[in-house]
Amino acid sequence: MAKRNNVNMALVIAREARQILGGMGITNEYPIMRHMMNLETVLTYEGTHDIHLLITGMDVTGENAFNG
Amino acid sequence: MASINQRQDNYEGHDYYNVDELLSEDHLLARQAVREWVKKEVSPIIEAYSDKHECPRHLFKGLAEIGAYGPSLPPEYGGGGMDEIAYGVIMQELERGDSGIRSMASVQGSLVMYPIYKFASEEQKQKYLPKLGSGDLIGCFGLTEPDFGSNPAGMVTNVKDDGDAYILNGAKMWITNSPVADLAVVWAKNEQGEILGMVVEKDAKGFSAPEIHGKWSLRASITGELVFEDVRVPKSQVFPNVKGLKGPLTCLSKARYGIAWGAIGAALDCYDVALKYSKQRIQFGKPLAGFQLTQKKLAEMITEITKAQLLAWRLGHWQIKVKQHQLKFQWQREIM
Repeated sequence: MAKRNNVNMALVIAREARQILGGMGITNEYPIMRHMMNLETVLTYEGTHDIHLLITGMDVTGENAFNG
Repeated sequence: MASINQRQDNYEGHDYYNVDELLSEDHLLARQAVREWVKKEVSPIIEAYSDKHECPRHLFKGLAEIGAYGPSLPPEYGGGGMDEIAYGVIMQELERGDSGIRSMASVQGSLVMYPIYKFASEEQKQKYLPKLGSGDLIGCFGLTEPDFGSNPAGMVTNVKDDGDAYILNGAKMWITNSPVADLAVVWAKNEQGEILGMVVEKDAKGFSAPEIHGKWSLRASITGELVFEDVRVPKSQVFPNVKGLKGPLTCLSKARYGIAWGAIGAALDCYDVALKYSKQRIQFGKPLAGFQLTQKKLAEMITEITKAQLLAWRLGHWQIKVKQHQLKFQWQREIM
């Protein structure tokens, strides 16, 4: 739950921050676009965003939704 | 197109709710040391390495020197002897520099040293952990396969009993550090369908680790495959103290906790840059920071960062408490 929340939070912030910088936000003069691209991996690896939702779902409902 | 610059990195952190008050002197010192290291070693080069899609391998040793490998493992096993919050703040500062650099350290500490510490024999621990902690050996972790990502129980990588050794066959995919690693912690099924963990060294016959090219993400972190063709793994290399998916999942939970902190670092850097830029950039005769829509973005950013800081701190503190009272901690649970 913590990984899922915090990585998604960081990705949303990277996108918003990029907008504040306008065109400069997509360049390598600033770190934002690099962080944003990195975070796409972090969202997926070591347990994906979606799977972590299903794990929390299973924990609170007692029902396993992994197998369709 | 901007040239590859040497960024002026003036980052000093943001702490809207005085969360630092919840940290100890040791945590703050560790954080400061890593922050300074990132400014000196990472920020000046990271854009160029990311642009070249190349791993700054010289940083593996530096990461060891700042104690980024297994900070919460005991010193006699190559760790830093600190607690889980120290591990968290170190990951946060590394990822503030770059997620790829944090990944280099996460894999070494949480996915290589931790399983060896937790599941290996004393002999295996002595053989590998001190050298992993000092960065003299680099490791990687092989669980994910080309056809089995979120469903690791379906793995096809397997071992067959051959007297004093196992014969390992199969392939692993998306393995951070694999092309530069000296050893791999590999999870494979035995003939009974049970998952075993083992250490495979890079010069084992039939073992190769080709690099995966063309990533638009974590470009400064090296990623590869692990390919095993009739690799003979002595039984003395197999972890005696774990069987089943619990082994690899325990390691991932540990790494995930570090990621929960690390992501805050990336968010803080984006917030820091956007906040400073919005105060300087003039449009319609006033700074961007003076517009309501910009303030909405910045206010929501610091709100979310603050919530994330408290979430990560609570998770770390919970583990410390569990350790002190020698309770069983459910690493596998959804809370990570």
